[in-house]
Amino acid sequence: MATIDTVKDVLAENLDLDKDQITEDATMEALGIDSLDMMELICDLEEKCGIEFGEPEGIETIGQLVAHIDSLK
Amino acid sequence: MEEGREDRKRAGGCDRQAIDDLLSGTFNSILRIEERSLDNRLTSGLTITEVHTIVAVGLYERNPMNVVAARLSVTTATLTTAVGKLERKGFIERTRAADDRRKVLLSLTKKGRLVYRAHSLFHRQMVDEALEGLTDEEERVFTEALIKVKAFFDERA
Repeated sequence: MATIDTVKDVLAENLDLDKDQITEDATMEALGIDSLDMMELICDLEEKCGIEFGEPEGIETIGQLVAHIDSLK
Repeated sequence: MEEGREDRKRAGGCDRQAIDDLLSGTFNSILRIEERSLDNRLTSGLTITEVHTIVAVGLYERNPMNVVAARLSVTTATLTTAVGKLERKGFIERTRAADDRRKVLLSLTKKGRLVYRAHSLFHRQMVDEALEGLTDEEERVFTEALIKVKAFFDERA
């Protein structure tokens, strides 16, 4: 499964977001994802993608999040 | 040199009593802010000590009890009690080392990693906000001075 689809699944499940809204260009802020939501998202993605996400700073868009996860695979 | 220092102690702008108040006041405020920061859905119900125990285990590490105890400056007996509670609450896991079955290793569960991240986030935000009013030069001087002052306290601690 492509990383973007995993991200969409987790966000749709956790925050009840519409998957169509979740594009690579969308910012976390525009999607209403706050810093604590982000922490939960990261822990869920670590489990689903089998990665150690680390503690990177400056991830502001879905595209940046996906690129970071892909760089760890 | 000593005379200069004495002069500074008495001089305006280097009021040592005021500096003492600033250090104590800052320390107490940080503790209070940190206490309040636990009031969120990820860390609610935990004490500061429990959060710091989770942090001492490490985000992805598998550490023996003595390593975590040393990080917290507590005895392994004290840590064993704390870990038992955190294990029951689902934040920490205890496993046996493959090379030595007598050795217990501590690691964080997903729930524990969430707390670790929430705590890191709190500290990042606190420092960012606290230093917001400083110019780059003020921040540089503050950091250099604080490194020196902290070295003194670390040595005495």
